[in-house]
Amino acid sequence: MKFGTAILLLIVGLQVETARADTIFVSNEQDDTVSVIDGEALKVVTTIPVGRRPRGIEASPDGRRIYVALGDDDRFDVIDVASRKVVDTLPSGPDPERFAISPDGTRLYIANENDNVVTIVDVAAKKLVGEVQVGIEPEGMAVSPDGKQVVCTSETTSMAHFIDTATGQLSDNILIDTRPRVARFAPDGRRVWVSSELRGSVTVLDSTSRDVVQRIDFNAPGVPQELIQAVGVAITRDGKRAFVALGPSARVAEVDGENFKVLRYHLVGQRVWNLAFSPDEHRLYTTNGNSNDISVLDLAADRVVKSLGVGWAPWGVVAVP
Amino acid sequence: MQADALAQYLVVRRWLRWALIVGQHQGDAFYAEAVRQAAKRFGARIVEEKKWTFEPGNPHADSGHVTLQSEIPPFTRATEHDVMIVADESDEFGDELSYRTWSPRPVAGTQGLIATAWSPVQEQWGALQLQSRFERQAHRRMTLRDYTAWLAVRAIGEAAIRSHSTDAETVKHFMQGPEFRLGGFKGQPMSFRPWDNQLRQPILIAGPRVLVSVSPQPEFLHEGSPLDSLGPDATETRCKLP
Repeated sequence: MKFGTAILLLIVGLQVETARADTIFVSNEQDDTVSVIDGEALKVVTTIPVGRRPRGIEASPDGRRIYVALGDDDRFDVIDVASRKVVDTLPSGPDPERFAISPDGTRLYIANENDNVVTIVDVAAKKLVGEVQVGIEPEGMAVSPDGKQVVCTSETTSMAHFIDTATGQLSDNILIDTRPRVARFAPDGRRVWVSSELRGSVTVLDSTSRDVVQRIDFNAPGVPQELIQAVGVAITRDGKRAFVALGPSARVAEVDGENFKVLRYHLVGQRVWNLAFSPDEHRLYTTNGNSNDISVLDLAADRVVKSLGVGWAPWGVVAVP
Repeated sequence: MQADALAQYLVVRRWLRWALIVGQHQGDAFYAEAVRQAAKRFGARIVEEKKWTFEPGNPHADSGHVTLQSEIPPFTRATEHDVMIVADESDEFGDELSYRTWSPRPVAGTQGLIATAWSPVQEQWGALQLQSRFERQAHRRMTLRDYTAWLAVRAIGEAAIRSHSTDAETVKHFMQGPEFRLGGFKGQPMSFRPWDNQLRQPILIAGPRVLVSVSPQPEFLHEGSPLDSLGPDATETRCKLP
């Protein structure tokens, strides 16, 4: 009996280990593919051909579909997670880059870089349902956890634009450090983190008052300041840990999500651009555009445990259970 | 600065032996001197130097190419070299050298493969968006002159926004200070060097229809900013600002 319990525990234990297996999707900007990685083996299991210049990549809230923004084809390809095939397309407006999904999964908010607009797409109807004029070269996109606000950053105007989703109108424009790239709501929705590529900083805004709560500067030892360019931002669900991709410096900064102190710099691949957690938040994945690989950070051990070659110029990454 | 940018690229390619052709004007002499300094600085060698003494002919004459084809090959015959560098700031003859040299060597310098702050072929780091906005307005690609004018206005705008001021002195002071970061679609923040007010910027290495590289090359290190490996550094400057 005791023996049987031990076996049972062993099996349960193994299941706990394997339960964290996730599937990772990486958009490869320059070879028009999406790499699919088995999170358990950490191996590329298949490569899906998609349309031209895939960049923005996000999963539907139910984790069953992956949307890939195709800059040179002016549309999304929709990948079915189970079959790992492109099963549908969606309109996007011209030259889609980054986009964000409403928490209920019904709307996509898309930055159209060339036309200085944010396009709103109804997923079920597969239709463009709105357009909001923003600053020059919109890029970063984020939806608040309650779905009421959208933040778009414009690279050349250097602003964070707040859009009220009920009215589809701009409610505020906040000046950010030079060339803001990515906006990310903290999970409690009270704050928005906005990265600045050319200042190499992150500005944390209060999402209600829009006041600057904190500016986080980065200064990795031995790295020229010009190469420290903040891009991708990821914040854990409990809000305690944040990670910032620092572009050509080949570093990811780890930041205390509560007091905003920079805790350490992790060495990753070249031109690290975007970040995604595994669904269980045991790992962080980074896309490294110039070394054509992703880095895998083990968040318990707090170090990079693997680099994995993917396609040409990996840009975005998302992981689903 | 441009000669340094070009030199870094040629040295990284291991094209270390240069033949230098210098035009007749003062600007050409200055450019040639910058090339000599860059060769010394980054480890290349000028194996032979020649002065271009022909009167500028008219290549548009019916037999223009015949004359050029008979004159240029023997003139460009030089000690064994990897690349021919031309110093012709007024575009009198440099473009005629490519494909007519005695030895089949690339031409670089003021023509051929050039080092430049901007080129109509630049599309990286979001420059595609800048080029398409410009093209929509002007119905052509953005040239170096367009870019420098645009960048000058943008520098003032950026300094005014960040210093929250329209007062000329305040804006100027901010622009020259350490907080100033100028985005110019070249992948790195740009700023002004306090010792000579030169814009600290990446330099493109380009042919007429293609972007070849961007300097500074990562192979060359610098104790402060890699961008300061291009142009006179703080310790080398002969500039005395008031």
